[in-house]
Amino acid sequence: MTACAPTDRKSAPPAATGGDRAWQAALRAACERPAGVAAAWRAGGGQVVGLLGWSAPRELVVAAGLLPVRLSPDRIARPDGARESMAPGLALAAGPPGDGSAAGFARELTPGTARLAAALLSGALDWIDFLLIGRDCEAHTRLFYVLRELRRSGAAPGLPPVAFFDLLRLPSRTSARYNRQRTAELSGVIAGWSGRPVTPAGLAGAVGAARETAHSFGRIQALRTRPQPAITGTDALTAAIAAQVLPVTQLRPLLAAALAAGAVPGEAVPGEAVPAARVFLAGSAVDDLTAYEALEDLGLAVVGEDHEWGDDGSEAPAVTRDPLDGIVDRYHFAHGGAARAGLRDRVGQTAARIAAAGPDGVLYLLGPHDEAAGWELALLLQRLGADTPLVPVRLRDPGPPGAEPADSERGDREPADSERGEIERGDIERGDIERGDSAHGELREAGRRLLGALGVAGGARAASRG
Amino acid sequence: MAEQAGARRRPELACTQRFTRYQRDWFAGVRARAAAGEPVALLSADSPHEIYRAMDIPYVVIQWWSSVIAAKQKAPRYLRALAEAGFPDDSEQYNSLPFGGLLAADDDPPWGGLPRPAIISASLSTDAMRQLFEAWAERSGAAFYPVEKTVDPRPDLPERWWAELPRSWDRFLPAERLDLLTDELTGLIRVLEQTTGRRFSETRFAEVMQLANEQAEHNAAARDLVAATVPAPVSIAETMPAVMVPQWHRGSTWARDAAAEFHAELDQRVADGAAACPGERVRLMWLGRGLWSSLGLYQHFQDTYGAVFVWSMYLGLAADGYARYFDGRDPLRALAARFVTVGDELRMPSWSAAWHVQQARQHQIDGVVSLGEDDYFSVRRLEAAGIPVLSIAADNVDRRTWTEDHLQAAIARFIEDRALPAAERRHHAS
Repeated sequence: MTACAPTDRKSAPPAATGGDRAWQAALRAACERPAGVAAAWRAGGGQVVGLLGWSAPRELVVAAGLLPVRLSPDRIARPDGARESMAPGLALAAGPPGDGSAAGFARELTPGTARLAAALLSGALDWIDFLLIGRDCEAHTRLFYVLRELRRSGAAPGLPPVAFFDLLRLPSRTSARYNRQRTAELSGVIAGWSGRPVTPAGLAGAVGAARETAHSFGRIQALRTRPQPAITGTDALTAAIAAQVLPVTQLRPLLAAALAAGAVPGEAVPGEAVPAARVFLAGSAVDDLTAYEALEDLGLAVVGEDHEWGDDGSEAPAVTRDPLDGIVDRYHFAHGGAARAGLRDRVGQTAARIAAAGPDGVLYLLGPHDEAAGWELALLLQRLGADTPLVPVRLRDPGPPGAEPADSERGDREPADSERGEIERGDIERGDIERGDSAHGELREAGRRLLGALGVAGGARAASRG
Repeated sequence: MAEQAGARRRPELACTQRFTRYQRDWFAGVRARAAAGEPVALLSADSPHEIYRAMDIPYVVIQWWSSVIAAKQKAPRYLRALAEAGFPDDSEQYNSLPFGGLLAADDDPPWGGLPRPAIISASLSTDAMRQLFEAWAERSGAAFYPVEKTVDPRPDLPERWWAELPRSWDRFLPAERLDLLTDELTGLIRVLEQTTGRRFSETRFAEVMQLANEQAEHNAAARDLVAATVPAPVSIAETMPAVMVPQWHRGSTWARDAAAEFHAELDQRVADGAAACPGERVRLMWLGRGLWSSLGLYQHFQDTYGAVFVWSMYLGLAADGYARYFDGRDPLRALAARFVTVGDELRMPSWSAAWHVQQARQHQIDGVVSLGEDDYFSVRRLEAAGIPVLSIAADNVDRRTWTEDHLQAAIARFIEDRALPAAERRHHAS
């Protein structure tokens, strides 16, 4: 995947848009191998800020001339794409064996944040220079506390500098004032990291770029929600994730190519069968492309989502006299995740997004560490009424960091024939396929139930491929 | 919290029973005021009660009422009612049980039943708080007043909060956090004035704040007495209920006087040479939420090993967590300084670990039992200080995760293997 590893961050790689569907591969590579993007950026003399969470304001990082790369705790890999052993970090996270009284700090964290901490400690994330944590949820707050204390106590002197963005979400003036103070303070921290000031012009430039990207995603969403979708949900999610990894100069032509590919009115996604049904994903976040593919294999078209990894182009900073105002408001009033959000606001926005996407039904994801999503379900059901079937899906816990498959179990053996096609199609690491197949059983089952509720037979796409 | 019927404790103090009786009478009074048409508020333990007290708006603390529900064995039914209404029954149970009670429409509720609230207020300290309380408010017809919870993002925190916060809170805490909460409380007062018709008196509020500080002083003196006295005059089986009932009435004359009574009775016991366990050999610390359903379990080890649990967070926080002196400064900002840190003392490892070690040393602790806590850093620092720790993965309110037999066996082994040798070293050194 050379397309995602440019050496010159100032110019877009022309190869990325070459060929009919080369944009797909390039976006997917960025999505799956953010370390490669980071390595290329750093090879050009740049510095990389790892972002944890939707609420870490990337515009500030861009304005400082640094590359923001949003991190997924489940997709941490070395620049060459191989999974880094996190053994040293995991050992500290898990604590000394047999010593129940001194079990490691992983007990303070969710499996995802523990995995991230282990990666930081083991060096698996040595391709980031700084870490910015957004307060999406209290698990992120907890991670910040743990990292701060590991550094302070001298237990982990090699940790990169870490900043925390304490975003408040109540839609009140007092919260707005506080968020402005914290954003200005964070600008100072990031400026210190980059060694150059964050100027109004720099912020305005970052806002402009964010708005341009959002405009592209608005158009992608329109393609997706056509009567015959012109871009798949998987491709749309891939682009949304890649947009949180790639420098805008590289992202721009790829999104343009994606839009051009789907721009012919009435033309469906090449090679795709007519979907058996259209589905909207609501509730907890999912950033695993194989989850979308699992649903598409059932013949479902994922025409929209409201989770924090998706992007329908509806949220971008407004152009304001002081660009910081537009940036703060973009995060303060974001749809974001359910955690720390208001019930009425969130459900109202979710219902509006569902109505705009026009799905036949809704799958409502309940993540194992997303308590807030469960509290929204009753009101959303009430709001949608009986005309839009909704199937709740309780997602399984991926387990603590120690549950990571061992290298020997993961990627070194040759794939079986039955798996080979999957790998070629998606160029996915084998371990991801294993996790995807096993982890998305509940999602497939929910998809089948939704198809049953709609009175539609599933498996259309799988059959058409077969 | 309400005591429950598990391993029952032996009374060690006379005052606790009086406090419990007061609580019953007080709750009957709240019900009577509600029946007479007064607005009643439901408040989370980490929201600023003092404003409601100053405005004479009767309030009930949600977590206390949840413990009453659990003690009356109503929790399964109320959780089922939540699930039947489409809400989670495995999330925020200590906050959601009263909501479940509302949905269950129980015709035989605990203590005659919780009055239907006009106001619900909670600090947004966990992910699901807003959704839970908004849903509850909608179903009950109450107004929901959320209170923001901020995080201290400084890369390096001063540790000695227990020593600095009471008098130097305005220098010790980031101004942004205090500004925010002070502004929020200002807005809340205005809303309460408009919606309840009550008037906020600055004079009365300052008095409430003074009373709360005096209550904290009595608790600190009581705590210091327990820490310094060997054998300890009382165990946590007694101090937990003796401290928490007055805490729910913080800022009232009764609560201040109750804390004084508690302190005085301890003083007398020390003067008389009375001890929880006259043959005390081992001093233990309990980290995490208490075993409210089985307080007698703490005393079991007094009988078997001469081991006394002398520290829990309940008296510890009542002593160190609340005093905010404002001499000449804005009492509302002092109240903000009291609540902006609630939970940080226990959840921020930079603060909690340092405090646990300081408290363990002050109390001459030989061993620490930690139940269901995320306390890697506390364990690490306590062990490094030569104080052994037993960590038990269990939930204090979920009986599926522990039994008395299991806890007794695990703690007994810990005392024999680690705490007794540490106690021996302490005795030799003294």
